[in-house]
Amino acid sequence: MERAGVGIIEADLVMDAGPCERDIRSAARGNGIRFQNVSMSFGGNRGGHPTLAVDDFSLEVAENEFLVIVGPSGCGKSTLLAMAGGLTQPTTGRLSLGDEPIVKPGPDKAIVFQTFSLFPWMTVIDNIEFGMRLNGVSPAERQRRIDYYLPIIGLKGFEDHYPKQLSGGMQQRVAIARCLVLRPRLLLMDEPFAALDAQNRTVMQEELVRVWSAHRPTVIFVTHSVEEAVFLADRIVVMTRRPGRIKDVIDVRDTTGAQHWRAAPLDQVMRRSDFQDLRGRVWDLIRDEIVIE
Amino acid sequence: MAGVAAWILVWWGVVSVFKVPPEFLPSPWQVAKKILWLAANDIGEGKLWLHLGWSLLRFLSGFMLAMALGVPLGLLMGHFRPAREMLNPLFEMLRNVPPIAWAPFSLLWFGASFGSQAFVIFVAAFPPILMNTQQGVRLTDKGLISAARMLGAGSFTLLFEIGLPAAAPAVIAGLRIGLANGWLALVGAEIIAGPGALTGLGFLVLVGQQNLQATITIGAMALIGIIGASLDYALCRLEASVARGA
Ligand SMILES: Nc1ncnc2c1ncn2[C@@H]1O[C@H](COP(=O)(O)OP(=O)(O)OP(=O)(O)O)[C@@H](O)[C@H]1O
Ligand SMILES: [Mg+2]
Repeated sequence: MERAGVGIIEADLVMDAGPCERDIRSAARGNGIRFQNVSMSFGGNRGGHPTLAVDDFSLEVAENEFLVIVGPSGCGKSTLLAMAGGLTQPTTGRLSLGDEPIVKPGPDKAIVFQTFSLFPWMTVIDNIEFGMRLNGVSPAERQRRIDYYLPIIGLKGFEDHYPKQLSGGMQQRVAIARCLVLRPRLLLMDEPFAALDAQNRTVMQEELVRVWSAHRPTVIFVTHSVEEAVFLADRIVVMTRRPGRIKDVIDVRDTTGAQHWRAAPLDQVMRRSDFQDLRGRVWDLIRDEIVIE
Repeated sequence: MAGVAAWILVWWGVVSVFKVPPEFLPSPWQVAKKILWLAANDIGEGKLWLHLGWSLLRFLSGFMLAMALGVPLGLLMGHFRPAREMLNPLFEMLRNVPPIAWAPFSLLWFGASFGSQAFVIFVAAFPPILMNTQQGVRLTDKGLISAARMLGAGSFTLLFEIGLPAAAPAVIAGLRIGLANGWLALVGAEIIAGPGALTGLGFLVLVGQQNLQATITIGAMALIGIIGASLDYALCRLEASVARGA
């Protein structure tokens, strides 16, 4: 099935991307991710009860798919991303990327952490460059990618600032850029826009669609915003409260058809009644799961 | 600074009001004059600068060695659990032994020489440097480690490009403590671990005592205090500049 990537606008953008021509590795097939009966429980500290964070989670995310996970706080979303990124191994079950099991972290599975985790002793540029340097990207190519992404994330002029000199939203954008420059096969984003105000959030959502369209890594994107989920996702996974299970999977493309609405500006999309309806549907699913503990 | 000056005034006041005999407690003025006298006249093997120079050299040799061994070993122990578990009991034990208690062994191993004095200073400065470095590496934000591994960092990069800078504030705090400890051990080291040496601030302290010249002893003590404070100040500045980056 052909989807958003063939829209005229996005086809243009692929060329627009200029120096960011497709990476050979990520153009290869086999970047889908598969969760097979994945469960994760954390051992209780000092005799406490273990916590079952994720319970029997099975899902296949297709190559190039933009998957969004929503669910109440503490339902195991970050845990799922950590496992997909190879940072932790599930207690039971298996994960694979393409045909390889996911056993360790690496730059092909980039993660935008909920807490940013920028290196405080490195400037913006050094933070963005660090991963590329570790992976043998040539200095010239590093510079080209930085020149490409820096204006997109709106941090031109802040190259030599340290993270603590930036606002939360700016730090989050550096964390995103540090992943994008790696051209990952899999892009895992944990509430990447949570620290942004509504206006910047909209701009960043649209920019994300743009840069993502340029080489389309498989994305798993966690958010608390139903609107953001409905705007960005190919499919939305709604999770139950802890222990996290899949409550429902909603295919946004059933509503949008082949021409996904994320190619258009958000304020236009928001006025569509089918967008509103879908948002209401997802919100109703989540509402049942929210309990104030 | 003003605080120091005030206390010197108090000292002066006490000495002149109660007419304290100079052998018992000389006045600041007498001490200052004696320091100037020491700068111009030989005592032991030479003038004041020679004593200062030797003391600093002994101190720096011991301290630099403590730094050169303590930081890398601390990094390793912070990074590799087996290294930590093997070596920590040893150092936990050793660091509770007062440095000067090493003097007899030090004399045995290095003779009554520069080496044995530097060794006592090394023993004093080493534990806090090692412990702090280790702790700093061990307490590196787990998120930063995850991020680095995600970006492709191997063990070597994790240790030197993440662990070390993340631990830098703790390392410098350890250096400051080590510096103070080492400097405090200097006089003892010079008196006990270097019998026969006719140089150093410790020697001046001793000479003052033996010749009933309280001015020399207090003059040397004052210099020790001033130099110790200056060294600490220098590291303080370094600490501040690292903190600015982090
Ligand atoms: N390292 C850990 N040790 C012990 N328990 C953990 C650990 N990490 C997560 N948990 C537990 O697992 C559950 C899921 O945590 P997780 O961070 O994945 O939730 P989340 O869905 O990302 O929540 P939020 O929306 O608030 O970010 C929580 O109950 C949490 O307490
Ligand atoms: Mg989370």
